Amino acid sequence: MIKKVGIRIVAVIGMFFLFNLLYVQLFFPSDLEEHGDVYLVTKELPDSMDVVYLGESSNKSFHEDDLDKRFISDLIADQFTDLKVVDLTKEAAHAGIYKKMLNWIAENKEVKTVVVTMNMRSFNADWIYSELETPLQKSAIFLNNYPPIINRLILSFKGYDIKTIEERQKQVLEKWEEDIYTTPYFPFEDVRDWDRWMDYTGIKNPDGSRNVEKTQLACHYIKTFGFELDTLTNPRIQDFDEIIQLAKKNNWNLVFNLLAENTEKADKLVGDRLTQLMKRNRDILLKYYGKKDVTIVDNLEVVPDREFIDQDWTTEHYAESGRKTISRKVAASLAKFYPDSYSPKDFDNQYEFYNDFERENKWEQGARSSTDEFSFEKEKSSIAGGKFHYSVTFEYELERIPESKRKEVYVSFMYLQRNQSHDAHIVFECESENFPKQQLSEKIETDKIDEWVKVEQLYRIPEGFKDFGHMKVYVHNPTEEPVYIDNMSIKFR
Amino acid sequence: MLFNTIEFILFLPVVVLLYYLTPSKYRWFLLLSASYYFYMCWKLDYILLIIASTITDYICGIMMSNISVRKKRIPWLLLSLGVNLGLLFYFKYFNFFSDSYNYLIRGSANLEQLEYIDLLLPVGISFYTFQTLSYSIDIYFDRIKAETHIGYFALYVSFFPQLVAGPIERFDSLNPQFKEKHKLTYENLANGLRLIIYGLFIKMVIADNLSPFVDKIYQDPGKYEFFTLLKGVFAYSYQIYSDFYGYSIVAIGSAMILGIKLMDNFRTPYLAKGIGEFWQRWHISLSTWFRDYLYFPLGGNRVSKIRWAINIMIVFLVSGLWHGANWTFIFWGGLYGVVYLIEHLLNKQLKIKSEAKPWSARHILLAIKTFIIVSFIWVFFRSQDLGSSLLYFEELMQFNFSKEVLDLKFVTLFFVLLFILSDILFYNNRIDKWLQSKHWLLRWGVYSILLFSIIVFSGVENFPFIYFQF
Repeated sequence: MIKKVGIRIVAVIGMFFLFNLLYVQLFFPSDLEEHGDVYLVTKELPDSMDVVYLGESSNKSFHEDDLDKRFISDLIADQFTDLKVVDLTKEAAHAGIYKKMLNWIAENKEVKTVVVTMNMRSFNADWIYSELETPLQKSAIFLNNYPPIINRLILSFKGYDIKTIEERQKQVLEKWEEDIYTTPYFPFEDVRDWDRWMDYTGIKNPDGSRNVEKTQLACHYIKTFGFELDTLTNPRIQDFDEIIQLAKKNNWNLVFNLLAENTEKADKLVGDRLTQLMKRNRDILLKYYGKKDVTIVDNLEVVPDREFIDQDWTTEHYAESGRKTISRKVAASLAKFYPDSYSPKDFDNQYEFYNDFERENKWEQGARSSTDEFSFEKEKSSIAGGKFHYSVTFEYELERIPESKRKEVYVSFMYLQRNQSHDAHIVFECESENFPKQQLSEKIETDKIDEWVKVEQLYRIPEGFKDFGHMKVYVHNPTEEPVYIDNMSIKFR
Repeated sequence: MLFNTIEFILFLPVVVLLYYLTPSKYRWFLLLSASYYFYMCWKLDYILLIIASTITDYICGIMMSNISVRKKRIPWLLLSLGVNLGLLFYFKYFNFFSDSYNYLIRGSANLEQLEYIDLLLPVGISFYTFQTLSYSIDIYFDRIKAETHIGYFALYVSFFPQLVAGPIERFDSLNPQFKEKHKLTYENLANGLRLIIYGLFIKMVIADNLSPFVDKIYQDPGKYEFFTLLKGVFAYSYQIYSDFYGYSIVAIGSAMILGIKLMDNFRTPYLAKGIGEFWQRWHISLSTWFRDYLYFPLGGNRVSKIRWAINIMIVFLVSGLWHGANWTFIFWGGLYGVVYLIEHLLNKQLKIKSEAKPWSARHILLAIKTFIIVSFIWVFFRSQDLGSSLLYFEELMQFNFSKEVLDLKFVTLFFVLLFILSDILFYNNRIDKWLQSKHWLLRWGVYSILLFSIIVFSGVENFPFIYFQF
């Protein structure tokens, strides 16, 4: 019987080889689209890079009114002259997911420095056992360094931390119940006790009535940050520890970017008991990772309340100035690895703008006229003509530019045309409440076909528009024949 | 631990290996440990319920077998029934009872409302409770002798393949098999694996892919047009069938590898020619349990016609209640009782023979009729509450063709059709026996398709076996 069974086992192994071939050819791409977004974003990284920045939504969130909508990672990249800084951004990701991404990167890509976002909320039970965890874990399965068919088998047989929403909620409640405050004379037994107290006491309006929204938000702040970090048992600490091991093994420079939290609001809503706890947890992290020789950037209190986009929830979504502050601090910490490339930027006085169109929301949201049909250097460019008559548009309020730099705008970009039967113009447009819209338009003319050429244009800003004017620069092409624009640079001088 | 998880795929071979390496007389211990581990993977504390039930029935069984006068056994029988049904009532029905009670006394100032207990329903409690109940009742009626070895008895209560969703086995069928000296035979191994693969295929590829489709429709039936609602009705019929049948045959296959034969729980039920026959083919271990421990003691059909009809209604209503603590299940059971009686009456009045030659036109028409009736009755079973099920029918009756259309994925539809075809092929048979006699090329072709489909086309969401909730 052993021989009979042995032959069949060999046959099944052979069958799996065939399955793998078939699967990779026919079903793997669509499976990745459907279930493997963590794998897909990781795979998209270039083969070699100097710095990889791992972040969650904090990296790419921006305020609608932000004039500079760049990612934190882009702003960091802007402060190093010749470094290839790339980001790996996945919403709701945390050290457990970063660890898997980095494991895969170690096997498949080349990198010198790793910046890992450290989100204080992610150490809390509410996030550790979040209902988002099941889909996250699922989408990270394809990062296992196994043959695709084995990863699909693991997915089919639920070989990951799979739990229902109810089970997750139960885990959170159990953890809260388990975690008794150890701080001497702390007036609450555990977070539930504190939350109940807050709910019972409530926040009052000036007329003495209960402010329901603020009370709910205060309760939420307590549940989110009202925990005592325990480095011995917290699973996130274990994940970060594994990342340290991985970095050592691969000789990576490692930086942990402890994100800013809205301590100002926490203090206003709940009081310093909560902010003290947040700072205590921060100090634990600084001390713990300091001992392990990891560079940890402390941003906890650097962003003021007004720079937090979500005023009615605890998130790490920052407006422009907040992102720039964090990027400056991270860049400064990276400077020790790259002293020659480091060129700190005074973002508040920067009047040069650049877009390679690789990111959709760099200048405008949604940027529909971004395309991957052609690209000067990387993968994408902006298209004008055909379906979209307008290229990606640069917009800026002139009042933000110092008067001395409001004289002229120098625009340059790489340009590609397939033939000459189009009507592409570069347009400089100004508009303000007091003045009608004014456009300066110049036809783009070149003989080169299917070849990238550099186009340059200089505009004098009209006198009346130097104050309070809203300015736009774009390429307009109302014909069916598209043209392509890449690496657009705009300088005020 | 669920059958469709990596844990079980690793757990089963380890148990099988250790089982055959262990001397026969200690195998009960290995299986019992494995069974308790299997259950504890789901929830640690609730193993205490199984242990409590086991100890109670073990003692009651011994005590009853030591008493020769049947009447004097009654206190022990009542103790066994009380503990088992008490646990079942507390964990499964208390909130349903209190909800209904509170609803009835609403507005009455003198009566106090009952509180809701926040409890997680212990997986499989209805299954193992019925198994232990049958043990005590059988001892009471001298049909079997009490087990004196508590290990073997505990194993009978908790044998892992059928612990959480049946088949509900009888003591005289299962217990002797634990004591036999089993050798691993190629036939058991091959047939067991065939059943496991097929069971996983119909659960993971068919039920789990139908589930999101059905869930969407049942969540908001008012949103969809007539044909989509109709598809929802039939899709659920196949979802619940493939889900439960899939579980049952993985259980049977797993036990078979250990040399233990479990009873068949399904025999192509959707090819039944009438409701009566449907219940002889659907969840057979439960139907026969109700027949032996409820229907016969009520007098069966050896009573007046009116009494017989009442007996039928009682059995179906209790069967409905067994399935779940919700009025939908009671209504569902009651509806089966009514339909069964109507069918019986019509067949008698119109002198319609319920027999038909297999695959004759008559058989096919009767099977389609039965399938349609069963499918529509499932609407009550699937709906959240009675109001939702009535709303579903209301929406159907509007014959609205302009609302949203929802289509099944082509792959899912293909596999459902394949399943229907395989049901026709295996009519009154089972895949393991059917495959046994086929050429090796066909056998391996079937294995390849099943395995590849399980890996590549399985639903990836977490859909626990439907019958786990009972």
